[in-house]
Amino acid sequence: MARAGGRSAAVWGGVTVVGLAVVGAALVSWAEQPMRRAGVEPFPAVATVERQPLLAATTRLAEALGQCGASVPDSVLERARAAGDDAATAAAVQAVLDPLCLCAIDLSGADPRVVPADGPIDLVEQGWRTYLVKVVNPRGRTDRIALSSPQAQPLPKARREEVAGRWLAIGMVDRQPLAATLSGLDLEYRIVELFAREAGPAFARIECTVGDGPPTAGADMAFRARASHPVTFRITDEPDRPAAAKIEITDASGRVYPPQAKRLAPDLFFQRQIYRFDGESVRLPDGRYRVTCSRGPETVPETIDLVVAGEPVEVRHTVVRWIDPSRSGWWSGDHHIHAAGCAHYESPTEGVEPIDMLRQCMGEDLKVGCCLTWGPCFDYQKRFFTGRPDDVSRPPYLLRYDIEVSGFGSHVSGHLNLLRLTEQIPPGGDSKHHWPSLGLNTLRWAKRQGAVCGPAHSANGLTNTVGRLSGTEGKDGPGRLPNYDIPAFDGIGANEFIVDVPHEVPGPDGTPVPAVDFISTMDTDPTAELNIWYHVLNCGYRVRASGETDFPCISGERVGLGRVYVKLDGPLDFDTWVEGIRSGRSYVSDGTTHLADFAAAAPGGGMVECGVGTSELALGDPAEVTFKATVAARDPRGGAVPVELVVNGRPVAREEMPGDGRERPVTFRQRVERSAWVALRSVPRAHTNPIFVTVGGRPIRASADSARWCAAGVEQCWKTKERSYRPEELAAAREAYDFARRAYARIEQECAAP
Amino acid sequence: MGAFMHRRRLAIIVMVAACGAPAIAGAQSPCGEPPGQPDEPVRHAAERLLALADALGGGVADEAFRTRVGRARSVDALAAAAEHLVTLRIHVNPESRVKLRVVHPVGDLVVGRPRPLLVAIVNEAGVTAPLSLSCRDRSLGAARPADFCRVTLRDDGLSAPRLGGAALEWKLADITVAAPGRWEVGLEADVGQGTQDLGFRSTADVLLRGVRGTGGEGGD
Repeated sequence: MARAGGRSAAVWGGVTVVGLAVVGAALVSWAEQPMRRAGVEPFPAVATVERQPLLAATTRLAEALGQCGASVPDSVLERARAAGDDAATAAAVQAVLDPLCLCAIDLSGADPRVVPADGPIDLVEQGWRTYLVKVVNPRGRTDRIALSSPQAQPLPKARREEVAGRWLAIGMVDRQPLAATLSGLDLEYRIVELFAREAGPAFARIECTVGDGPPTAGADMAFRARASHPVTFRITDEPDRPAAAKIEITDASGRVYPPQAKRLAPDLFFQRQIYRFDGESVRLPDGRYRVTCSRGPETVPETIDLVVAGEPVEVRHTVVRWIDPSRSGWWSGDHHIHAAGCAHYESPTEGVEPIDMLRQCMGEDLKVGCCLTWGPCFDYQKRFFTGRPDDVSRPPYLLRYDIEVSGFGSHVSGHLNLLRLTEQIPPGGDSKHHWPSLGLNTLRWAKRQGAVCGPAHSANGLTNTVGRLSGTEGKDGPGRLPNYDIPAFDGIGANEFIVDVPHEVPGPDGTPVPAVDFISTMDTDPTAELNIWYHVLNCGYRVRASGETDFPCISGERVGLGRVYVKLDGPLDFDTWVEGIRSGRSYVSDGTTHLADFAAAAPGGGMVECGVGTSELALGDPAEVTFKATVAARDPRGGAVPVELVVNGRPVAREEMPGDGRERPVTFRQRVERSAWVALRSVPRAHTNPIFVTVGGRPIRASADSARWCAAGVEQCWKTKERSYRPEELAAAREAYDFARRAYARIEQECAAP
Repeated sequence: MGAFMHRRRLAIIVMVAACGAPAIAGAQSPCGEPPGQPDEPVRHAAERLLALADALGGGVADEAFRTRVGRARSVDALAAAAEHLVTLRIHVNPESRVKLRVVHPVGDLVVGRPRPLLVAIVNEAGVTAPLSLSCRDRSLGAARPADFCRVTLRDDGLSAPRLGGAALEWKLADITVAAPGRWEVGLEADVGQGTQDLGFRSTADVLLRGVRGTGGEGGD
């Protein structure tokens, strides 16, 4: 490690061991209290602070430390909370947090003063260490506060002789739940992260700026950085194929590696885990680590105790699967993930690249990722659209770019997932500013090119209610499915959906096709998602369900939280896979419960597999129908998983399936008296698409109340969305809503007919 | 921030350019606002903004403010005029994720007396769901409703919790502290289930000071 600033490292050499024990161990061992060397100035103490704001700020600090991969044990905070009064609380908080500090900033005088901790401070080569900064603020200042150092100056444009001395990097953590400015409380603590370029002893001048202008105080401090070493991952999937995996690395203090706060792609800062391919590595300093490896919800996580001790080390992980649906031709996918926006950053790059998203998918064993370009970074991300799977795809892992209408165009009336586009932007422009404001017009454009379309995050706008359908008291189903509360249609989910579903629009060859192919499920309120779906199915509309995550908006935890599994007869290709969403040869799942091979058999031998052909089993007369599926569920606690047979939205039979992960056949026999849709579900984990059983050639007209509910939805949707339509599309919007009104009114009459 | 902020930047650039241009008597206001009547939606927004500013009290709706609002020909110009009055800024992104910022200090609060705050809402999603504000106390660990503080959105002829769907609108919230002393309160905003922002940017933590009123005001 370089020496810089004209002060000899030898001056500090004699304090190495003691210093490491004081500060370096502070975040590692909370039981140890610091021992300051004689002659070292103690931190200024604050005698009393109002208890509530100090404890609230300390709680936020602990949360922020957690985001940095550091942690404060709850027991330590509880001790502070148990203190009796303001003075005791202040003393307890300082006793707990002072040992974790790099320095104290004393703002009691006219100029700030930096009081350094006893050194040398423990750092990590090529890694980040998290420390606190104590701020004593009796004047109640609310300025911005920051630490800096001449040794932390950037290398670009540095003089040759300066390069060696610029070994340090400093980052203040001031994002929420912290703030960039001081709160004004007499005592608070800030978080600072320090990065060391090389191993060994070094020193730096730590400077403090309060408010605007140059630093006004500083102190020389000694550091010592422990060496890090490459840790290479050897990852194999059955049978001995090199693979990618999800890897979470923590140390004894719960600190996450690599530090989240300083990650750039391919490692995402908002995730605790990283994803590594076989042969790739991270650098870790000497120490003990807990490494948890897995590959998506179809695998069993493995936890490995890792010791790094002075040399490179390998970690071997063999993926263990409790199920592999792809072996039976069921290919997983997530039709709604993003490479930009929400939790992603817009700088230094505008989102992340296709290879970064493929890494996420492969690490979760998600076979198909539909990466949707939307409002943020649209004009950058649009370059990745090719109308086919991206070149980074590694079959059977496919990544394809398409569009979510979000942040532009018809987004106010409900976001739309547009999959398998051939052109990503409508005529009339090359960006996002000229799109139709009526969702149905967007769908007309998309369906003309053969896209597969459906609303995103469906329950958004359906969880507030404006009333209840008259005459439906006591008619709600178990678990409020279905229910007859009228949603406010005041959000961006399946809102205009209720209007668009009855429409047919020209397909690629001009033949009318349904305007809406599917409804998205698995990422928003399951009751609201399923309720609107059940009602339109009860009206006879054959909309299918698909599974999504809306990563990293609804969740940044991982891709494939919500999934759709599509059955293919041959190898995986995107066009056939997405066609399986449209046709419903698929089930939705969170990956822990699988409802495969759903099929129906008539007494005379006729059989229909869900999603094959029209998914319709035609009976001449009422009959007992046999419904079969292959079910597997894994409950880590070993509990049973209920599977229900649903007819026209209401459960009619139930089986408790062991949650041991084994695949088992399940069979239900159900008499079908009139045309109905039938599905299997295990709410909220999984749901099949429906099989349509018709009796005597009659269409499904399951419920007049459902038709009335849909009609009420159209009225409510018009109230909330009318203003979102541009004047030039208002006539088309009125026409579309009127068409839907007439359709639901007709269906209501047909439901009531004998 | 998307298209709205882009438009807003453009508007500011236009205004700066106009202010820097040679003045032509009778053709333009000193601030570069074009002459003539504002569009109807802008006029309505201006009237509403003036009424909200009046409701804030304290003489904030002074002549200078009224003049700026009166000259505004765009919602962006109105936003600039009202900027110094806004305490809370809420941003609803296209995915309905809510972000809350305290842009000006709340200051001291008389115990028991509601203090009106002007809330500016940038609504990129165009949602029309009710906006919810609440107070959280983190001092005991997991956030829980604060018993020392209350914040409510006005629900009267002037302001209502339900959003109108406009790209920018203002609402009034009342904040009340129940006891004297300093308190840290976590203000939290959402527009319905699941709209709290990832990374809890939908919360803002504020240090409040409750002071006793004089002459029987408030109470604790």
